[in-house]
Amino acid sequence: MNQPVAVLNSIETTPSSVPAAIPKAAVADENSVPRRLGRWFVATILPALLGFTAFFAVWSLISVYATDLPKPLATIEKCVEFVRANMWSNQNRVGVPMLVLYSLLRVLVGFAIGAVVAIPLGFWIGSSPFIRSALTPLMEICRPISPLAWYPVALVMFSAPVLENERFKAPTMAAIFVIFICSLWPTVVNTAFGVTQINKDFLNVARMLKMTKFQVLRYVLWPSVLPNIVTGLRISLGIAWMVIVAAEMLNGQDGIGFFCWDQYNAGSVSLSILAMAMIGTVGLIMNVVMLRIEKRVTFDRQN
Amino acid sequence: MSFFELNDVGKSFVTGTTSTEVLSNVNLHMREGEFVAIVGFSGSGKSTLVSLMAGLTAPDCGSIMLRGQPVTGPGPDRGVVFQNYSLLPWLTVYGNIALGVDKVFHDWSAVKRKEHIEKYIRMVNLSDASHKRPHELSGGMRQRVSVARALAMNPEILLLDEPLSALDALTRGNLQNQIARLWEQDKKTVLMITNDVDEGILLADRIIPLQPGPRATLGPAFEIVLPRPRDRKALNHDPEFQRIRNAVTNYLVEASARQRTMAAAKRELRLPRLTPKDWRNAARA
Repeated sequence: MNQPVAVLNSIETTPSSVPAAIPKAAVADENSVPRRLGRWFVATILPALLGFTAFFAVWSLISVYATDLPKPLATIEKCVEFVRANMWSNQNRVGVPMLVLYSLLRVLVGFAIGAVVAIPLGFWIGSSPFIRSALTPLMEICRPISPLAWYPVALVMFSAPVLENERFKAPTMAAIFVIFICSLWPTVVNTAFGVTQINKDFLNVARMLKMTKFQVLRYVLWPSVLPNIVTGLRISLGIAWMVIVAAEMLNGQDGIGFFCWDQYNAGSVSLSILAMAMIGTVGLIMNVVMLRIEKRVTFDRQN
Repeated sequence: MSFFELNDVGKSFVTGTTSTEVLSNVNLHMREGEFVAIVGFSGSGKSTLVSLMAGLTAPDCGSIMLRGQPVTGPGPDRGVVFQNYSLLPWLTVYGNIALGVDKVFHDWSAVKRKEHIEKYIRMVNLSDASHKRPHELSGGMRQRVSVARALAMNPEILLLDEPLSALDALTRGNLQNQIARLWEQDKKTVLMITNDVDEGILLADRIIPLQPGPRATLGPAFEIVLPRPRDRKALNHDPEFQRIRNAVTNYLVEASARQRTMAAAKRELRLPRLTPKDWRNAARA
């Protein structure tokens, strides 16, 4: 029988073979708060600042030959002025934050409907080879279609006389439909992928425990696929946000996308750029929130 | 009528157009409360055998009976400890064991189930880690959770599919002792598949070699009458242990050599010496 061999006890370390120890005081200095702050600044903040500086430099360069494009400093001035004066209520129109809220609401409705459809569809596609073969060609054709190309069909669908409703106007419904149809695909694809990645051993455990189909879904399939679902939802949300801006630009009455296009038409490109900044910020916040959720839901797959 | 029996079990796997007969003519009869070890090479169909016994796959021919009833599908009466632990990674140790207990003993009260789970966690010495997730545990601890999960379901027969193969030698030794101790308490019927002959002889009442595939079948069983509890260090010098170990190892080595020569013989296709008959000259002559 294999006996552990006690060789390590017999090795002696001579003083000359061990390097001189680093004094404790020096190590403490290295990790002092000012040093660590300094390192964090250099590693994280400084490159970001440099990145933004480069961006403004390129902007200034472009605005030299594109004379209609306002220079960065001028833009910032105009934006600050606007924020101070008119942002919260713009005469008889709604303030800009409210517009962002309108856009967000449309996104969330379209995204929610999309999620409710996409997740079961993803499960179905992942588990049934027949459905996968049936729906994959359709999916691959629909996926690259730009939201702007869906818009005319959507408008026509929701302009039917039977759907006429003061509350739910055709452009709004069309926008929500376009968000729905474009944000489906990442969730479907990721969910289907997650279903195929399920460890067969877990299913064997479920079989050994004689779990009903519903119990397998709830206790084994769902937690296993959840990280993939959340990844898909995060990407879908990003796409949905991009789509609403495009849809509003095309035919909107309010919302941040409409504001962006409207300001351009009114000649005020700076405010258009302000709208861009707000769109970007909201997108960033949503992405960070989804990442946090993703992190909480992900488990270490290595069993 | 044995407690657990396999009668003439055979299983083939079809890949593409070829069909490989992995197991053929497997016969096994187990008494209740017996600890049987099956030893064999890697790839000889050991895991297939466990799948068949657990009911996860159906045999192509023959029957598998537990207490006289045929085995038609998987169930908690045949608890399996998988080679790869198969712990659900999003559940804690407690949660993993609770999964089985809540399913099998759904008519018990929550308090009773909790006590039951904690009893088995204590049995495998994991009380400190009961709230941890599998990725925070070492391999030995994960395997202990897997064993606790299987035992907590109160199965009729416990099937161990190479439970200690993925562990280092030292942990393996520890866990062998734990398995022996656990078995002493309950005297459950256990069938253990292993690739270590020593481990088999240390733990089991009977050790049966599995011939290498294809068409693997069980060799002769060797009864182990060494008294329990068995001390690994003392066993090394025990003549009976050495005799059984040599017998089993020789059997396996010979079986493997025989299988290799048969395979080689099939490869060298010797054609008969034939010369074409000269019809023209034959007719003339």
